[in-house]
Order: sequence, then C-alpha cells, then structure tokens
Amino acid sequence: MRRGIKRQAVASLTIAWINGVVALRRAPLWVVSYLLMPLALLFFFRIYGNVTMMKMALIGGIIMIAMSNGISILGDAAFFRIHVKYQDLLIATPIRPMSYVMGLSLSMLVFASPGLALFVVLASLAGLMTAEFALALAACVIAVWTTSSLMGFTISTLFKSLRHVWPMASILSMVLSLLPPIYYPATVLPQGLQWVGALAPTGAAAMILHHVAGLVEVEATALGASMASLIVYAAALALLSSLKVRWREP
Amino acid sequence: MVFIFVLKVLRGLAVVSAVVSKGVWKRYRNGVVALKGVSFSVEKGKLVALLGRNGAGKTTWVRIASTQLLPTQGTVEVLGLDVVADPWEVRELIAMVPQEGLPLDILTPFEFVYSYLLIRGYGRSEAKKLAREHLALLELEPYAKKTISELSGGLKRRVLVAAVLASGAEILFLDEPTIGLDPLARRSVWRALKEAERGGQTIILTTHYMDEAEVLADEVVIVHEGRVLFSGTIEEARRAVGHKFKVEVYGDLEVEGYEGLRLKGVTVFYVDEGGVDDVLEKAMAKGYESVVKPTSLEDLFIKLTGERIEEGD
Repeated sequence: MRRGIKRQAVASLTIAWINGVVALRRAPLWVVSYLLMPLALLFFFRIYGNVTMMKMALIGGIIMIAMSNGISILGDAAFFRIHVKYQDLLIATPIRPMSYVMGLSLSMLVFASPGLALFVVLASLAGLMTAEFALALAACVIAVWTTSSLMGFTISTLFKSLRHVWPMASILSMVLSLLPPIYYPATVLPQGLQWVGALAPTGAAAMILHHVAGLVEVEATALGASMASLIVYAAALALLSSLKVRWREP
Repeated sequence: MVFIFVLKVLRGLAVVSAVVSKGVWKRYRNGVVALKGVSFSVEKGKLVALLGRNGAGKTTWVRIASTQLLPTQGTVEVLGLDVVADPWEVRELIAMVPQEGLPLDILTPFEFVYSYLLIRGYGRSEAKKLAREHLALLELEPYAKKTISELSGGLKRRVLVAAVLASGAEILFLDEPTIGLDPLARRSVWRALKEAERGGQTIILTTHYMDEAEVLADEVVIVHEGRVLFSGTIEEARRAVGHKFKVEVYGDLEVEGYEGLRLKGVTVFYVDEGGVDDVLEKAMAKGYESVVKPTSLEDLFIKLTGERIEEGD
C-alpha cells in the first residue's frame, strides 16, 4: 500500500486519467465543442480584422480554451457529488479532498490540451512565439486553468440539483471570456482604469500576454494589478475550495 | 504523527467491537431530526443488517459512521477510533457503497474497480489482480470490457459492490447495495458478501428487504423513525416475535382471546399451533379469506412498529 504524498499524487493522477484521458478517448466531441467558439472568433477576426486583431484572437482563444475547460469542472464535480455519489464513495477512502480537486482539475487540463496545442501551433505560425512570450503564455495558461477550475469547483459545491449547474458553466464561460479585455485591447477602457480589466483572471492573463506580445501598451498599474490578480485569485480560490469541498457535512 | 497513528491502530486491534454507536442524534439544519439516540454495537467479522423503512434514519447513521456527516450528539467508534475526532485514521479502515451510488459510466467495470483501488493506495499489479478477482466474484467478467453506460442498472450496482469489496477494508458500509437488482443478481451479491464475511471483513448493510436480512445477517438492528427498536441475532429476533405462526385474514375480524393487528384491510393474528384453528374457523364463519404463514423477521418489524416495512415504498 502506498502512503503519504505519493499516495495522494497517484490518487490525483488516477482521477485525471479516468476523467481526462479515458473520458477524452471515449467522448472526443467535447474537444470540438470547446474549440468552436475560439475558432469562430479567430475566423471572423481574420476575415474582418487586421494582423494585430488576429493575434489578439489567437491569444484570446488560448485563454478561452483554458478557462472554459477549467470552469467545466463545475458540471463534473456536481455530477460526481449529486448524481453518481462518486465523491461519497471517495470520502470513505484515504484520499484527501484537495487531491480529489487536483485530480478533477488535471482532467480538465487534459481536455484542454488538444485545443491549446492547436492554438499554440497557430500562434507560432503567426509569429507570436518568442521565448519571452512562450514563458508568459505557459504561466498565464496555468494561472487561468488553476483559477477557473478552482472557481468552478467552489461554485459546484453550492448546488443541490444538477438542473442549474449546466447553464451556470456556460454563463460563466461566456462572461469570463467576452466581458474582460481578452478579445479587445485594454486601451479601450478609460485611462487610469485599465486595472479594472484585471478583476477577472482571464482579463488579467490577456493583458499580460497582449503586453508581452507587443500588441497593446498596457499601463504599468494595470500590468501590476494583473499579476497580483492572478496570484490572489489562485490563492483565495484554493483556500475557498478547500473550505467548501463538503468532505464532511455539518 | 506516525507513532500516534500506530498507537491508534493497535488500540483498534485490541477492541472486540468493530463499530460502537452511542446515543447518536442527528438534527439537520431544516429542523428534521433523523436520529434520536441510536445505540448499538457490531462485533468484528459479523454481517449486520440495519433494517428500516425509507426515511427511518439508516442512511443518516451510515453517513455519520463513514465520516461523511457530523452527528449532532453522541459518538460512533470504528475499531476504537472516534469518527469525528479521527476521521483520517477511520478512512484507512473503511469502504462504502453509497445509497443510489453509481460507477462512472465512461469507464469499463475493470477500469472503475482498478482506478478505485489505485486511489486507495494499491500498487498497479495488485490493483489489477484484485479488480479481476472481484469482478469474477460478482460474475461481471463477461462485461469487464464494456463501458458501464452499456450495462443495466443492476450490473452497475454490482460494479460498485465489487470495487468496495476489493478494497479489502476492514469495515464495509453498504447502503442498500441490492436495491433494484433482480433475484439472480441479488444472490450474486449475497454470495460475494458472505465470501467477504468469511474473509474476516465486518459488513454493515442497510436494507428494507427482510429476506435479505434473514439470509445474510448474523444480527439485525431495526431502526424506525430515528430510533433503534431492536438489536440482536436473527434467532433472538425470531424469538422476540413470540409465536410460531401468523394468520392473515382479509377483512376486519375479532377473535376472543386473540389480539388482531389491523394493516390496511388485513387483520393479522400471531398464534401458536393451537390458535391457528380458532382464528381460521372464525374467519371462515365470516366468509373472509385467510392465509397461515410461519412467522418471520417481518413480523417482528410489524409487532414493533404496527406497520409493514414495504408500505412506505
């Protein structure tokens, strides 16, 4: 029997394997569904926009794929807890709640990976992939995936019925990818108020990437706010999800 | 930390009782009181059935004992460990089939059982071996490579039971493991549970099937409206009925010297051999149909609650 951290790591990877790798192999259409919106936006930006707008749509697509896959943990976590009682089955085992959350989050990343790979290839072809941009992109994708999956998991704990869960994932996905300055430059926001874009983790990641790619000259305060926003969101949501995980009900 | 854990496990080995429930109360936030001082104990290596109608409090008790729910008052000890104070030590020792639980339908039965064992800490080769053995035990081998979504409800339930039995946990909680299963599938689960009991595992199952309790259990605990009305062996339960036979008369009937229990158009008389004829004669004289049956566990439930166990379903 494995014990300690190794056992927890294997438990997380096992959940990622069954809910990510195996599920992706048996239901690949999900990948297409997560790609439709970013590809459609890329298409329109390419047809009606200029090169800068197309690059913005490529960055937007990457953020949207990471975020929408991350947030879709909402449906899986609620389904596992409410419908099939998989969470109840696992509570009576030595797995720690955060290992469970981590496993589910990783499985969302597995679903995101084909789409991310496609957009990274397209971004390279568009000449976006400098070493500096690649590093910033990796950090931002990890931050967006972490925050959106933790946000999705935390929100899932609030639901007692699956009926309301599915639309919530779509609503959040749209709000987090279309309202913040992802598909438009933060310079559209009033001067001195660009930091508002960092109120959403997706907006924060986009502003950093737009800046690093040289597409938009983001204000220094907004850039600082973006980095702080991603760190604070990740830490706060990790704490919140660990408190709300419902491993033992009162 | 390791020292404390070892001490706690050793303490668990020293105790005779696998599970001890003392005065457990549960009041939910909405004010519903599901448990009202539930006390009973389960010896190591025994198979105990918690019997009761839907809503009796069985699932609430199981969720408390399996560390999923906090009691309002009282304690449950699993192998000497308090489920509230030492949940992580308890979780090393238990496994549970949740009520209405289902295996993940995107997986095959083998993948589900195997992944459950990996999550519990088994190595890959051992997990594979145990998964194969327990799928065979539950007669699921022919379906091992189909996805669970292709299986019937009964087969899905058996996959879940296979996973939990394969865990090798010392204490198994099974909440209505055979609900919705056809008679053949139920017998397959029964055989597997008996096998696990012979292997030394302690099993606590909730059910509202009287025949299941009579066939499987060493002891029964009858729970009704949050209270334990009876706790003892099957033999003790049969003796507690007090009579060998029951006569069910399909109509309202009074017989001098015998107490009749009225249950939705049927009057039930508990009698010994001499009394059977007395009741039958009166019933025939009134033109009522009647049936004589040997008493069973269900009759103890009826005597204790004044209701049949299946009426609420």
